[in-house]
Amino acid sequence: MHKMHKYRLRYAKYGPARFASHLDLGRALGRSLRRSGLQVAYSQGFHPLPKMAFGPPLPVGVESEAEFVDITFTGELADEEISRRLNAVLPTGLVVTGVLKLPPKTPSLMSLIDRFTYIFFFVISPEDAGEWDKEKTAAFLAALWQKEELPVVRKKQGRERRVNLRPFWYDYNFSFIEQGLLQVVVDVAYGPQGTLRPDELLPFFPSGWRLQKVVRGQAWSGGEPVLPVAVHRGRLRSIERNGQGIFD
Amino acid sequence: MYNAYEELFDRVKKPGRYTGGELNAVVKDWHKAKVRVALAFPDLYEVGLSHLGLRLLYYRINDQKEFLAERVYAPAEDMEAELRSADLPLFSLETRHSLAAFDLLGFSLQYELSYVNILNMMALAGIPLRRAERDGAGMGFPLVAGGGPGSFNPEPLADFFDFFLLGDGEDAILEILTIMAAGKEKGKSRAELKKDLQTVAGVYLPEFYRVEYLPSGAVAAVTPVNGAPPVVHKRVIPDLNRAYLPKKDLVPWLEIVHDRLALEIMRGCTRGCRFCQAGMVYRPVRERTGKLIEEHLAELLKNTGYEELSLTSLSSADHSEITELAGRLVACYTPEVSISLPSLRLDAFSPELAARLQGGKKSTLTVAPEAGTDRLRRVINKNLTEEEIIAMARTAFGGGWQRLKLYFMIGLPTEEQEDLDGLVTLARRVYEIGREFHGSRARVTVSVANFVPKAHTPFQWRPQAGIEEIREKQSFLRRRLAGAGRGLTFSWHEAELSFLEGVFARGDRRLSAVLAEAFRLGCRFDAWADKFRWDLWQAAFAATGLDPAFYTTRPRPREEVLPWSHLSAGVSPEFLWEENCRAEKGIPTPDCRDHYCTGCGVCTVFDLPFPPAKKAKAGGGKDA
Ligand code: SF4
Repeated sequence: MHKMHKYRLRYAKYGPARFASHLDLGRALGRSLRRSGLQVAYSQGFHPLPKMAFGPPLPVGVESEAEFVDITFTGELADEEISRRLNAVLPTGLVVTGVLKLPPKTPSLMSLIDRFTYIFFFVISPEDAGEWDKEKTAAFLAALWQKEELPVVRKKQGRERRVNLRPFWYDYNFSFIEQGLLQVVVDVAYGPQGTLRPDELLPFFPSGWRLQKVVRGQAWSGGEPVLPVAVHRGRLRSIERNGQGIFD
Repeated sequence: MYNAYEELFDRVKKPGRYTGGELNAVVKDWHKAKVRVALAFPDLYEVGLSHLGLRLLYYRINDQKEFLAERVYAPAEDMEAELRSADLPLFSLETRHSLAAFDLLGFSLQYELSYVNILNMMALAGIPLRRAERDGAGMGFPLVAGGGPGSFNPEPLADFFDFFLLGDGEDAILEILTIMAAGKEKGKSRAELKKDLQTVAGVYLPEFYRVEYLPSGAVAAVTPVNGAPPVVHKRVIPDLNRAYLPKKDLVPWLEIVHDRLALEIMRGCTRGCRFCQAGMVYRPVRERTGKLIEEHLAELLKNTGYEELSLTSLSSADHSEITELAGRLVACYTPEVSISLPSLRLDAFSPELAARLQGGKKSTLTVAPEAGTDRLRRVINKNLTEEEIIAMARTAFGGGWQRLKLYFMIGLPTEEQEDLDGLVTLARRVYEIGREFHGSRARVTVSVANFVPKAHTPFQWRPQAGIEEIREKQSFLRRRLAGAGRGLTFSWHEAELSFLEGVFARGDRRLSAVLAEAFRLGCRFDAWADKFRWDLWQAAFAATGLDPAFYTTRPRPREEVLPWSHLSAGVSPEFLWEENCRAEKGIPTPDCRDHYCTGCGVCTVFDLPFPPAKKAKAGGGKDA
């Protein structure tokens, strides 16, 4: 038996990959690992699968700069080699931005992550753009933050349940990229206590703000960003969804 | 324009159907290409991308510097609605250009019930449906072409298409595009261009043939005009080992119907089942060598990372090296990569090999008796006896399999009540054997299709069973199979669907009007039983004054000019008629690869060597 080596990979998901479901992603990554020729460990059985453990699923349609997956290899590899060889074969829309060798008994991503940062990119129509200046936007978000109830209805197995989102909303910030182009940063809870999906917050924003896209920007654990951090020079730079490379 | 579609993607189901960006997709510079081709499949992405032929042409064209090929699939209802309300044209996946912006729009014609989707796709791109209208609009619209099995009787589509390619496309497509590039450079008119295209072997231009009808509605004569040849012969690649094969393959984000690497190991089949169109029109048998297959698979696996590979052909078990090849592939790739054949037919494979291919999992095995009695099987030339089928079931269940699938057809020529009784008895006997070995865990699926006579087969003159007859036979089977036990399930096809398929399978040009009307009335995705609207189709026939029964339930005399009589797959009509007569008498015709040439004519017409003999059956299975 080979000695097993576990690595935590950080990756970004954007462009055509943003519609890939959790299952689609597993398939795509599995196939990429085969193409890379890296010595990945497989499960037992008739249809062995590469040993991968993903972090919390990303809602379909949302882009991300902070996705994580733990992969087991049968050999020791340099962090740089893993990212280089994988990035050479990953489909457009997936890029590995950091690799970290895990010591034995590292807690799983699912148990580690307790908070996510989401960035909403809004376009405000030209007629309303002048009206939504810094002050008005600040006041609107502050008023929303002050509320004690942000009710939504969740459907689960055909049953409807009223849920208050407010306890899962941890923090916010905003900035204007230019007039009419607004970026709202929101931190939300994740874990057994509950969470909120970015699309659930949307109805609470003004209808004149047209959503361009949502990006999961960071994952947190106990107040610290989940490691590895992004060492890739790539950074989201454009909010155009042209599906082509939006990374440098 | 490119970004205009993004907003739509957020609102539709499975946006991955439309976004493109799959691994190994080829995105070329639109402006640098001399000729631009849109390869279209008139069904959903998951079905269309699964189709090997279109992927082959995609790479074939894109491997040429001066040509560009992009893909498009039929939009689902939700996307169609979004496109219409946003007033955006149907677009290609790679660069999101309207289909109207291409020089050539090529449709894959895989089954008759997708024809209305073709019209919808053209309409959604603002392309006039009728060829005459496009011709009247100068060079403003693409040439619309078709290929695949449907092009062997494309007459119902004749009003809409500029040309069809009969037979193998790998080389013909480049000849077509070269002519188009030259025509574009010289500023040729559509009429001039089409005259040039007529010189390409395998290309059929319906406008160069005048069709006249008898008062009965049958075709009186098909007359070539404009110097066209009296008969268009299909295109044949003589040697598959020297034929083009792409070095990579598309890897979709979405899970598609055939989500695996596929390599065509053989083309054609000479078993000679008299109902099978593919078996007649893709003759003769041509194989790729085991060595080439192995080398190529290694390369494709490296470039795709697929976890499953499939060796495809009409009857992969007949490949002369299959046992050795499958054995070597299993040893080399499993279990990380699993290996499959389109259907693991027990009539051709030993259980040991099947077990190895299935990775020891022993999922489902398939047997295709096709008909209920030995007599009827002789009629259709599926020469498998009841005893042999029972023996196979015994081997399968005894070898550890718990699930067996049985394929049958009803409505076959000369079928009698006895044959249906035989079907029931056979299915029940097989199930009893399953019970002997596995008790209540045994599963037998009895899948019963409705026979649809197809052009270029020995049964092309035969009447098709009507809707009522099929329904009665189905309900008889349902009743008689119901009591057998919980582990035996019966599945069937909608009678109306098969009936409509039959209309277009042997239809003539007048049916173009029915297609246009059905499209106008809102028919879409007719192959999907939940979308199929028989009421609308009936209205379309009524509106055009055509009787669907004329094309289906009527026997056709030998002298009748069939609508496809000017199109040739190489198999002679005399051979087909002879086969039809032998069927009547229940005389089997052996596979020419096991015996001697049975004179179908294809090897002679194309001056090809006779197909390679089969080696000993893979692991001792019986020929079927
Ligand atoms: S011409 Fe003869 S050998 Fe060739 S496919 Fe036909 S029957 Fe077989």
